[in-house]
Amino acid sequence: MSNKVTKFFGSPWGQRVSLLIIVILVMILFQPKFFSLDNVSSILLAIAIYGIMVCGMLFVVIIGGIDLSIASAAALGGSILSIFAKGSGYTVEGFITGFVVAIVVAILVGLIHGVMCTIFGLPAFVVTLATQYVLLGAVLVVTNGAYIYHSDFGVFYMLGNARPLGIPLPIIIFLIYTAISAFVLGCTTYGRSLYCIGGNPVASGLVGIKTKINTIIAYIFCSVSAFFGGMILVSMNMMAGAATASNAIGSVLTAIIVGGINLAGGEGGIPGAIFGALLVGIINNALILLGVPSDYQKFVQGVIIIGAIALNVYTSRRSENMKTPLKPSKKTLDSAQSAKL
Amino acid sequence: MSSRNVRKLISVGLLVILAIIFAATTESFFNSRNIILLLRESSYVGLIALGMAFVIIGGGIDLSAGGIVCLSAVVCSRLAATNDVPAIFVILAGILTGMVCGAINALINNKLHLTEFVATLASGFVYTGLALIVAYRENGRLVTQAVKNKGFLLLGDKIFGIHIMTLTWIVLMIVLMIILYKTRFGLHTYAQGSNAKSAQMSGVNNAMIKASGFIICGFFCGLAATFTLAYQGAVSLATGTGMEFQAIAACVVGGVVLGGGQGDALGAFVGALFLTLIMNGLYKYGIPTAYQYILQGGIILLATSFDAQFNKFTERRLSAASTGSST
Repeated sequence: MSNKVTKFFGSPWGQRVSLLIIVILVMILFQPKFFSLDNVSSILLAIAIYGIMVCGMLFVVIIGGIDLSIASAAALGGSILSIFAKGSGYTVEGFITGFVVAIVVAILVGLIHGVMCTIFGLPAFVVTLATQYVLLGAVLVVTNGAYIYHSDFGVFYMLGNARPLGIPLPIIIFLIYTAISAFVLGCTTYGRSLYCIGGNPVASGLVGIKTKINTIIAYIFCSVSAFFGGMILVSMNMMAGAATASNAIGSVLTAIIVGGINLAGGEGGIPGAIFGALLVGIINNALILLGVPSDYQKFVQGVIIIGAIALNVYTSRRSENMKTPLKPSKKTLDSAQSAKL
Repeated sequence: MSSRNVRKLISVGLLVILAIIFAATTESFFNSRNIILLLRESSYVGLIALGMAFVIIGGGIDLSAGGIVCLSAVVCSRLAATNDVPAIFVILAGILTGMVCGAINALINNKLHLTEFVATLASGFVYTGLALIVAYRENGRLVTQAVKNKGFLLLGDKIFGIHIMTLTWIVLMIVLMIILYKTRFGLHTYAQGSNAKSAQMSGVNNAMIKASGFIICGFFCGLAATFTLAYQGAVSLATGTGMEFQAIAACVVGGVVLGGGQGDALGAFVGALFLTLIMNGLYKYGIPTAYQYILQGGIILLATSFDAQFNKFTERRLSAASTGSST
């Protein structure tokens, strides 16, 4: 029994769960307000928005890519929806037009990312770093550099604030979104092919997987998720502008890394990603409750990313040491190689 | 002519064409005051681009450059706010902060085997956060401090009508060119950028080259921050925001190919001039700043795609030439 417990806390999932428990315990001790209904629902709402973006990012990370442009993409999605909704006087048609236009733009952005990465063969982080600024510029152009404030309580307001059956709509959307993502990743040929592409792109091309098309679809899904998350966020905050979701890239990357997803590709799943989003959401909320200025959020996220990786390296090294009799170590391999030479 | 020189001619040609267009179409462009200011402005981006070029040639990338500039500038401004600390120590502190940040980047990259852009993105967040902690506060509110140290302010002055910052930039560019082309260290950097594995098998110390790249980049960021503080007399916490992006854009335009092994300090130099020139010209045309972002992003995309095609083309020509000579 005790052996099983130590084994659990030595495993990656055990570490994650214990980390979560520690954070929650600390919060209960220092801030009794933490477990109030209001606060829990505000945590869940924040997680819902970043969780949708994390789902999209997960697809791209699994194929070994990355999308650094999601923060600007979310801002652009929110701005486009805001302009159409407000411009039409908050009619249902205006809302739907804005929604469709934003999704079409998202598909175009994802298409550009995918084509640049596959057909031109450019590194993903360069392409998306560049488009991050292009999209930010686009936000400033469409909003004239000012915030758009909303004051309507119709369909636009409903997207982020409706509560069917008492559960906020963003949380329901998030749950449906993750369920679909998990199904696609786990149970479809497309989803399984993403893992192959991430593991070895050349080999998966040789066994007949359409690597280029599948990669492009993953980038499109990521952009659409970011735009979608941005639209919900704007409807929730009732305002849109260049600063919308400006912390998104830090939060999403932290969630991915804390969730134990290897950025080299070929690994990871929805459970890890959701766990990461949960932990990041709780920590962001804890910082606000403890009165830490929001500027420090990025600092904490940076420390968490580096700390999580350091922990990963430490535990994988320890488990490697235990496995040495089974697997030849790097040293013996090296000496074998030099003997051959 | 080797492909390296062709690529350099292309970027210099673009620069000259752009300058001629701006000089012909706007009145306030081609006068000594604007040129001097333009050179100073480009030396800010350019100094960072020099360090960034070194990292990129070695096959890496440093997204924390903006954070390092911010932290160094804030540390410097804290020290220079009184007359107690001698100017030379303030300057050294600024540069040293940059180098320590670079060393931390090197440590994270070498020990944790994390993808470089993620590691430096995270450490960039940390440096910006540290700058917030170090920054001067009155009753808990951030207050911008003016530099009082007279000796330190001399650094922002001009010699022979040109800013010291610009002169330093040109001198350091030449020094880096010599290091890159004439020393074993430079050779190893190119070798690592072209193919890290084969470089390691031929005896290049990968970890050492990578670490030196980051520390050099930190040095240049610290230097750029120190000069900017001395010139402006005060810095806000927004200093350095997006500078890593501009520096990468400058490198890419100048032919320092992302992925490593190509380009040199002169390329980064020309690229920084090009980038500042285009911003300056757009400002003169009265185009809103929003388009600057779009333009910078577009330039990076265009330049990297161009280089990818250009490299394919030269490789094909080379292989054609070699098979032609053998038959």
